Amino acid sequence: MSTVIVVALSLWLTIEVVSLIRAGLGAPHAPSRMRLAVVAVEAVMVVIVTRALVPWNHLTQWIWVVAVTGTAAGLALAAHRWSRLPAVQPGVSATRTVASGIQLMVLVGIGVLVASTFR
Amino acid sequence: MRRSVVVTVITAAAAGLVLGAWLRPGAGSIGAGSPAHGDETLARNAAERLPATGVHALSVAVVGPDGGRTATVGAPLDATFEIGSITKGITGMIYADMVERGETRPDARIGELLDIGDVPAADITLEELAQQRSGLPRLGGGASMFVRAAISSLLARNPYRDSVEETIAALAEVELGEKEPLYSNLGFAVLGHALAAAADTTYPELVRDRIAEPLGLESLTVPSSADELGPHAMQGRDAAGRAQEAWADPGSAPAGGIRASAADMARLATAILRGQAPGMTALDPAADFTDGQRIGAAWITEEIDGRAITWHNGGTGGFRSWIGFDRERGTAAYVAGATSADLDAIGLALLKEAGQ
Repeated sequence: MSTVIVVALSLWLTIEVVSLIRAGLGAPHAPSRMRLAVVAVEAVMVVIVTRALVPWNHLTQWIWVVAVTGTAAGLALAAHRWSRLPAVQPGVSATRTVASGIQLMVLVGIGVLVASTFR
Repeated sequence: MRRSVVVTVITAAAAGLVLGAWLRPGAGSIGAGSPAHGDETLARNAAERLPATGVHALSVAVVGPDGGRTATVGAPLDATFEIGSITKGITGMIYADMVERGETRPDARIGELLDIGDVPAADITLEELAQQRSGLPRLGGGASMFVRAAISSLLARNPYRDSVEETIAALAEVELGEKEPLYSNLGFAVLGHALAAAADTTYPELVRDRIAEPLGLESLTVPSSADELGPHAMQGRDAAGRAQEAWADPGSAPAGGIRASAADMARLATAILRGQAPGMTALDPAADFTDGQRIGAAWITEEIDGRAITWHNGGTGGFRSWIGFDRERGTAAYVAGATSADLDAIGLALLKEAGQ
């Protein structure tokens, strides 16, 4: 069971970090600052949550360290791309923009809440 | 991509690598070189058996024919650790003691002792609870308990937050299963509160009056809230190193709420080995449990490497524990750790060595 959890959550972590790096490099799933922020915050939130929940051992803990490294690189790429993006994607409805804003706040909330338990 | 961007990304990645390595799960784990107190040989012996990461403090006791030895690693010698479900063994001993004193009966129905009305659970007997075959589920609270457990796991909180009254009230909601062996935390919580009702007291006072005070176990207590943890309470941590909230709640206390120091667990083990502890019959196997295991009142007995080993283990949010006895040889071993990693194998190895 423990192995299944480690594999499943490591896969989730990898997908999120790769998604952030791709977004930073210009992938179309982050066409605006709002979506780029969602992708970035989601990756950071998953890094925090997997740190808390995965039963890492002395070997698999390095998967998490590599993910933090990848996330830092992804955030640097995202910061570089930020100024070249519109605040919101032109032509996207206000409803979708509001939904992205709510998604962003929920992700920040979960991340801060779980991060506050690290002490 | 411009050279400056490449440099920025590489710098960020390097910073992330350093940060990740510093904050990595399991950082701060104890090992063979960690500061130890008490018996140095025992501390080193136990610490050498630990996994490479994941255990953040250790409390150990070994009792043999030549006396007891205690040690801690990464914690003061008088630190109290949550013993988790080893508490059930102590609840079982109180049950056996009260039966021997004639204060209650194995066939006493919980409906006679607790105000639960005419619900199906009222017909469950104390013996069924003590032998883990009451038909009660592992946990009370139904589906909401699973949601609560998931949120508690995410936030490092104690999922058991019920009062005594709420725990007893859960009996009206549960669906009873067959009277077959099924490990039930709810069952032992109810057993402890039923015994307390029979003695006209509370579970923490029952433990104090029947076990702790007679055996001189000053650190062995049942805190009902964080305020009652005491000055020597060790902080529980999961294997990743995240601090976990203490499991100090009145509702589930009889199933897993006791804290104790290594020295007091050694005293308890010594009293059990000498047959001087209250409710000794709790350790005697009285019914089949599972997979070659037999059960007394909570205590499991099974043959391991040709030896009859009587044991119980425990787990809370921030602690794992194991205690075992080879009563024929007169040896016992106890281990508790601030971790979510299993310590059963370490405890069993220490017990085997104690007999050599």
